[in-house]
Amino acid sequence: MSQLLVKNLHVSIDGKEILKGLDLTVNQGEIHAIMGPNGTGKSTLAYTLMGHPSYEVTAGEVWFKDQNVLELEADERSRLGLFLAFQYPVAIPGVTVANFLRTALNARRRAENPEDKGVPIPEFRKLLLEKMSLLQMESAFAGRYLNEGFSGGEKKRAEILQMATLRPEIAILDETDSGLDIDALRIVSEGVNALSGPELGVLVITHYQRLLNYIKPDFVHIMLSGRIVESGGPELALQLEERGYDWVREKYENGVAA
Amino acid sequence: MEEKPRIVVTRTRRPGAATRDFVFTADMLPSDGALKDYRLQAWKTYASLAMPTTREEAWRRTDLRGLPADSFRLPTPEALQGLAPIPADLLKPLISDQHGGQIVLTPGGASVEVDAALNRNGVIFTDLKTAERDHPELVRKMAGQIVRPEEGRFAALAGALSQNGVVLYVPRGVIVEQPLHSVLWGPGTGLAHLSHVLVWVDDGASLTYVHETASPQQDAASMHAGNLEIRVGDGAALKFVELQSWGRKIWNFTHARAQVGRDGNLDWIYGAVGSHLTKTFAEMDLDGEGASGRMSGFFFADGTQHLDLDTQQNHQAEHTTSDLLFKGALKGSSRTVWQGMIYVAPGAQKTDGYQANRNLILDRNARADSIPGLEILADDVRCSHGATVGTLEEEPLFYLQSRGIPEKEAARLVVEGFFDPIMQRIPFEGVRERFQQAILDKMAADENQ
Amino acid sequence: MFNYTIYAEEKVAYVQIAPVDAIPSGERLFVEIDGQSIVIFNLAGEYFAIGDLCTHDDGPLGDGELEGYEAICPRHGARFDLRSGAVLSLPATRDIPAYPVRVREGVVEIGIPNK
Repeated sequence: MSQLLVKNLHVSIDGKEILKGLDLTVNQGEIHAIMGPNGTGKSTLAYTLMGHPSYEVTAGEVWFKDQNVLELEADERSRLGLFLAFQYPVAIPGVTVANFLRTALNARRRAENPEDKGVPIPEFRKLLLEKMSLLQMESAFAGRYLNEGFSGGEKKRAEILQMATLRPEIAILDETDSGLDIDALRIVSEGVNALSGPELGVLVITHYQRLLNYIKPDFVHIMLSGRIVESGGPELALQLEERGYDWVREKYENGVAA
Repeated sequence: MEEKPRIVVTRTRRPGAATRDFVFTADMLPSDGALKDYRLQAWKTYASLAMPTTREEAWRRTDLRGLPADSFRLPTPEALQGLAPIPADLLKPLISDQHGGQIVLTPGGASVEVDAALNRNGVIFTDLKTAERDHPELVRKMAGQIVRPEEGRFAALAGALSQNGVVLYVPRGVIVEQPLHSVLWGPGTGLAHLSHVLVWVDDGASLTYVHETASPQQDAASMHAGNLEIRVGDGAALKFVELQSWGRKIWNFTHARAQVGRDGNLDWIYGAVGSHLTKTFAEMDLDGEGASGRMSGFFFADGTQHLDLDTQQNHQAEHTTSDLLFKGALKGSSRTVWQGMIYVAPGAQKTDGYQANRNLILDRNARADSIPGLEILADDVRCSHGATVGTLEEEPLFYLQSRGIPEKEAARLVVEGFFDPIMQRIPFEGVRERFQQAILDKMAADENQ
Repeated sequence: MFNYTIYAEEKVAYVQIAPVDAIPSGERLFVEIDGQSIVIFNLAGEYFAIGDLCTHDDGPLGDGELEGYEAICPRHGARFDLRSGAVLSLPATRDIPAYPVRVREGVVEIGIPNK
């Protein structure tokens, strides 16, 4: 069983410290949710785990499958089994969804075997159509340029489509509910639920409780000022829903430079 | 191969004149042929014009001081013997197993293959020499009418001394279903490949035509100067694909113009990946009311390549529409220039003109100049332009890498995507794949800059 | 990025240009090496070699005035540092090349970066 282990992580961007000693363990098969007010470093955590070059790790460790993740490039992390569903997926003009996903799959195969000839087209087409129907996507979607002119819902569905195709062991969903109407939220959540199971660990990052009505977490963590300050079960999310974040702030921000 | 650098020291800045000039003489003009008078006229013009210098506006950014003009000779009739033969994949049929005709022009010769059905319809598709012999009246009517020798020294030179070329005529109302293909193959060093291509799609006719120029990689310079004259008649339609993949020692100069008649339509795709230096003038004249034209260009320069493209969209009549998009990528210490002009003549009301140039700089030593221009002498028009010079952005690369795609491959994917909308306008998969491959090869090449 | 004066000795090849007396103090020489245009200045016994094309629009930089260590393009007034090729003022935004210069046995030599 793989485990994502984050120890005392400190991260700065442009010289400003955002994460200030974050600890977290996510096992394959578990669903974790990280909740917290805006500006506490939730997205910084997501980008840092995936290896975005703008984020500078100043202290701490990240381990996954006996590998020091911080020494790996983003593409190596992905091939190792990490996945990030972006809050704001990036448009890649001129590159179709199908071409992109085939390139990504082939990169995995070639990393295992440099002689690999790539996934045969019929096999790939079958796989893609199967995953697309899971997310209620029209087959024409595969021929569109990636994220270009996509609606908010289409972008998020495309993220989950990528996750379904690449089959990570740990997936980080960064504010996947933002910009979604209820129908899209339901489709996306059902997609995630269909993929989750003993093979997949999920880290849901969200500001609102609403996504957690659809994706049921095993563990809930509250993040504040660059650290996880409170961890518990699903009841913690409900508590936040009822009482907001003020009680957390009162409890922890005394003595913490906000 | 080590070459001694050529050093010239002067006390005052020299005006950018080439230090060497051509050694062509009037006795090289063919002594007969349908174009005899035209050639003589072009020769006189050539002789009266000096080598362009950077003091001329059109040549400001392209310096010919390094042109080894005196080293170029005209190929002799047997010139091809001993030179690299044309690669088979350049001759691959355009659509699965057939095309309507193919002409291969080589130094001192030409081979022509045409579907007999086309000849029965009155379509003429042959090399210049044969056309001068078999269709003298037609050739005289076509040559020098659209690109005139006075337009520049290279236009005059190609007009006077062109040894090779294509004559393509589609009679009124004839719809040519199968595409026609010609390749100018220019192997050899120290040669001046001079070509003249004449295309006339008569009223109501329609045609798809691909013309390529190419040569192998060689270790010393050659040059090409070519004129391309295109007439699209009233209500006629032409899809014209023009591609150059010259070897890296070729100095390439072309003058191309297409005239489009009333309600005629031109769809022109231009691609350039080769040559040491290219200076291209490409213009479309929308002469008849309701004429429309689209120009799509792609270019990719690397190493020390220099590509300078001048485009012009001339709206001469009312209700004409033009749309131009040129996309370029640069690596190494290459340099590209795109200078575009939309001209709207007095009285050419209700015209709609657009031009855009997008450049992607992949190495910091590369440089792209993008110079759009408008000259509008009518008042009821819609014209606009856009120009950008950018680099590979971090966010798309990171996004692709986060899916397991290594950085270099991610960059390749972004560049491929950048060109894709233009590539999709090339109507033939075989040709498209060849140019996509050229782009991939350039992306893969290591340049330590 | 084009400041070749800081290149390691083995990364450039020196080519002989002219005897020192061909370029007295305050004078300049125009040099073309394999199609690259370079101008050499003698500033009170110090030699500087820079590219002879303004990066704004290919103006004839070598024809411009000098002010201290600055060369001023005569076309639109862009300024460059003679010592490093660094662009100092608009309308140019990109550096020009600067080449190392040395005097060996009474001959001025310019270092051209190896390909």
